[in-house]
Amino acid sequence: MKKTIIIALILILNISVNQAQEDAIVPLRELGSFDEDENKYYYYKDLNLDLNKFIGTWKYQDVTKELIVTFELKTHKESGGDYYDEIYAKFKYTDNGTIIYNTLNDNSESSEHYILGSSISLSGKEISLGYFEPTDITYRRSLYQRLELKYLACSSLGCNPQLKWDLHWTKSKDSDVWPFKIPKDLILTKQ
Amino acid sequence: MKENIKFYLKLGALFCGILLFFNSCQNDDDKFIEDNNIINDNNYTVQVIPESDYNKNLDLSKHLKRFNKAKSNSQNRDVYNSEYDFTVDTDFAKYVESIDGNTHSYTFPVIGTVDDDTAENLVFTLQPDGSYNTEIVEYRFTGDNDMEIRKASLSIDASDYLSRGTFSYQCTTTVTYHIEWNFNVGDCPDGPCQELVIDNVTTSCTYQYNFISASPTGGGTGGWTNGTVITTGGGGSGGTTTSSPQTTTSTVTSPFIDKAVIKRRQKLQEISDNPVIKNKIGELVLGINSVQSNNYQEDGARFKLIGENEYQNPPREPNERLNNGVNYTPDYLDNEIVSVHIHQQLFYDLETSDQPYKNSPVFSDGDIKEFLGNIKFIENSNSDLTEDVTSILLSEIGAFALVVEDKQLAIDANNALQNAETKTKFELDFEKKVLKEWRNNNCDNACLIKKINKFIKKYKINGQKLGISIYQASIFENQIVFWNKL
Repeated sequence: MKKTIIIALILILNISVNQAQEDAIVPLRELGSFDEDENKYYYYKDLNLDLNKFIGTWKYQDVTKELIVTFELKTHKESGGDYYDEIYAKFKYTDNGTIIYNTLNDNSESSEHYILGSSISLSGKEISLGYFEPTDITYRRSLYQRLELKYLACSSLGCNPQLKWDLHWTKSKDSDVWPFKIPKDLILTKQ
Repeated sequence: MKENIKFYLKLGALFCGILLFFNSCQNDDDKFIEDNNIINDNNYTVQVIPESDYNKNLDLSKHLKRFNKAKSNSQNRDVYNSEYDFTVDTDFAKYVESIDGNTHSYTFPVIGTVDDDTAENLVFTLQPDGSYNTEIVEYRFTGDNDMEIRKASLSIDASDYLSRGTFSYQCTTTVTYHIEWNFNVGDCPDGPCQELVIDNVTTSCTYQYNFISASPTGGGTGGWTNGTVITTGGGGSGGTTTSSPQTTTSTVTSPFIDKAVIKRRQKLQEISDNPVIKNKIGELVLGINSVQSNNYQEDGARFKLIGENEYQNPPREPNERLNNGVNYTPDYLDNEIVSVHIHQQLFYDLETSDQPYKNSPVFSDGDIKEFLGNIKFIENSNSDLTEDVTSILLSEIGAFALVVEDKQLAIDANNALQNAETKTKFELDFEKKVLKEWRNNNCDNACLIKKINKFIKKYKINGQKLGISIYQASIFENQIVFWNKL
């Protein structure tokens, strides 16, 4: 009985501490458009459960290339003082039989920072993610650098949903080369 | 530099020491300040007192308790009034008392006032029946040498609370001042220093003010002690100066004004008016307009301080001009404390689009990181200059400046950003909080300015803010005018 009371107290305390961390909960769909009070911090919560549709493993394959991406969900993640529900990707990219990247089994925190984000569209079907591919080609971060994913729902029985993958980046100068190895336009299929 | 410091001290001290006497409304029509003479007036004492002192006054405590306690994560002992939507810093109060002891008031600064040019104070003034009258007194800097003062009553007990935006202000007073050199060795032992001189006062009510002469040991909220109290008056016409300590319906206050902001605005104007910098700004501004002049790369210059407000000429130019950025090798140099660059309107990347991309008209996340890096570099090479490190951006919507608010916070932020994951989070957060809606054409320039300002004010790394702030100015005939804090 004593144990139960203690656990209950810890839980209550934990809940109240968590609640004290932010001033208000804002739907994730309003991230970017919500007019924040400069003296308050917020929890951008996926109230519509939009992120769920991206969670899981997706695959692209052609004659020479294969990309396997697994999106995972993190909730109430602190960044800059605010909190977010967000997704991040683990991935394996193979080109002509050579493994270029494989973070699928990498459990380090840094492996969660290559592709991540929470900027979901108002429709809940598109998401804009930060894209930090661990390429060995030196490049300058661009104002337009991001990965946009569009969820393509299945329209007939027995098919799998697909994901339209659009990578954006702009050059700093004419002589710059495209720095990323994973292709920029792909359609992945849910596994 | 010494002269400047003295000037700012005097400026701050003057505004800190202003005593206002607002008569009640019914007197508005018939009382004006009548002469331009400087009058010595020692009718009042002004003290900055800590919370423990003013809390001994139970009536005042009762008034303050009408405000809700601030949120638990606030480190200050602030109180918040939800009906009026403002927070009051209650660490200290300014206690103004007439020499005869017949009247007194308590003044508290209001945090997070509407804009940089405005300071608001919460003032409790003793009434004849022993109660306290509660008012907001607002100080608004309306031009280079003008300050407007007005007040609004707060009916703390009333049920029909007004929103802050609809305060009913009364008793507007405009003070015009200018700056003069003071050659008095007693005032300025290190040589001539500058002082503020009141030129004119125009008011809709009886108004009188005193100020405490500069005290170099002063500063902060409680740094000055009672010194020589001087009364000056001027402007208006007719009537008589009748402010008396016994006029218990008057508001008697000594303002809290953010001296740091005033000082910073002057400093920024000094930088942008420096002949070397001004000349380069005039050149760089011509590179902003992409449409008519095929300007598709950023440009800039860095300025090395070589004497008092004296910069090396010519300044250092970037080694590389890019679509989104400029490259300097090395990144930073000793005493190079001012950096100016432009964001041109458009740039091209023909491999991804035959249409031009729009460039952001505000600082980028890269600009912020570079500024923090410069702060760290100058701290390591000449820490006396760290707080003067300034980054100016010129774009199609005006001029912006990043300045140091708290150098230790800025250095800590810079150190933290050396960590790859922290840096990634910072870039990602800037993207979603500042750029995303603008890039999607859902956020115009005014919205973008608001967003970057909030980002800079709010963003925390390892639980600490960035320690920097942002100012904006207009570009008029290729020159920068009117710096204001965002």
